[in-house]
Amino acid sequence: MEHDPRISQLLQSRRGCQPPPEYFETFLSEFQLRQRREVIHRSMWRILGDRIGAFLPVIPVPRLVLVGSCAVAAVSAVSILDWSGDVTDPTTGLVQAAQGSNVQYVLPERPVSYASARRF
Amino acid sequence: MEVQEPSDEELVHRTQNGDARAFDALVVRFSPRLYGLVYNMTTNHEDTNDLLQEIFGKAYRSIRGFQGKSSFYTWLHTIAVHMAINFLKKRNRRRTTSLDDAENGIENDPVFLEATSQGDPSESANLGELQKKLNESLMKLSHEHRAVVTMFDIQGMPHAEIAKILRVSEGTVRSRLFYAHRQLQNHLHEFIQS
Repeated sequence: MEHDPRISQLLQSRRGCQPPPEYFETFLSEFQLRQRREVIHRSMWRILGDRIGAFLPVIPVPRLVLVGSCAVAAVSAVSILDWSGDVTDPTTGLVQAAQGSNVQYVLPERPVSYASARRF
Repeated sequence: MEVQEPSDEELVHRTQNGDARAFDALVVRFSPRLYGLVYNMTTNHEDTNDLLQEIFGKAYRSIRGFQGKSSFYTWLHTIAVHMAINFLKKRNRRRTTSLDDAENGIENDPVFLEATSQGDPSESANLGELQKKLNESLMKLSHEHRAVVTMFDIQGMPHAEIAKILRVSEGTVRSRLFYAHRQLQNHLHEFIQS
């Protein structure tokens, strides 16, 4: 697969195509200005996305596995939070029972001893 | 006594540790070269300027993730080429073809003409015409082919470097170059013969 030298020569003539040196000074100032502006106006989601994007390559695990694990972790976290919201306070029964009768000590269940049930 | 310029690795390391001025030094060092790359892909000054700002912005935001597996130069060029290709795809969706932009194209650019046409005026006129034709031919190439031609012929990068940047094999780079050159040759046939 030989390259046509005439085509290459013609394309090489574009190598010298550069703007004047002042452009690059202005370019740097503009870049710094944009950076500062961006720091002020960046949304939380964009910051989060960039942080995750910068963090992911550091972890030595295939990306697909990592994304899958994150998804499973997120789903688990949501379901645990949802489940814990349904659990009633264990003292609720005790308080309600105490309010409804004159009995002083009402326990919702039979008390469980910490001592071992085994007998020797 | 000569003051030794800090290496790319040192500047990257300092940037990763929060020294924004080290990144400024990288911008100064790499912007002329990246300008050539992006300009020859977009063929438009304003687009090049905006895109370069975005490329350096992205590089700055992602530099903590740079682990030094490749050179900084390759890493930065990878960001630049992929962003330029995405930009060109979006630009093509916005308007039918880049040829609509012929008035603002590289062949009418005074900076470009000054850089390429130094010498005999008649030769300059021919060269201008040839460059115009070349530009039209380049615009007919796909973005991927144009990227390969820009990196190999204009920027003078080796095949292996281009392959790393585009994340393809060297064979793919060679075959894209071959195809692109053949396309250019077909378009420029009469000009080259004369």
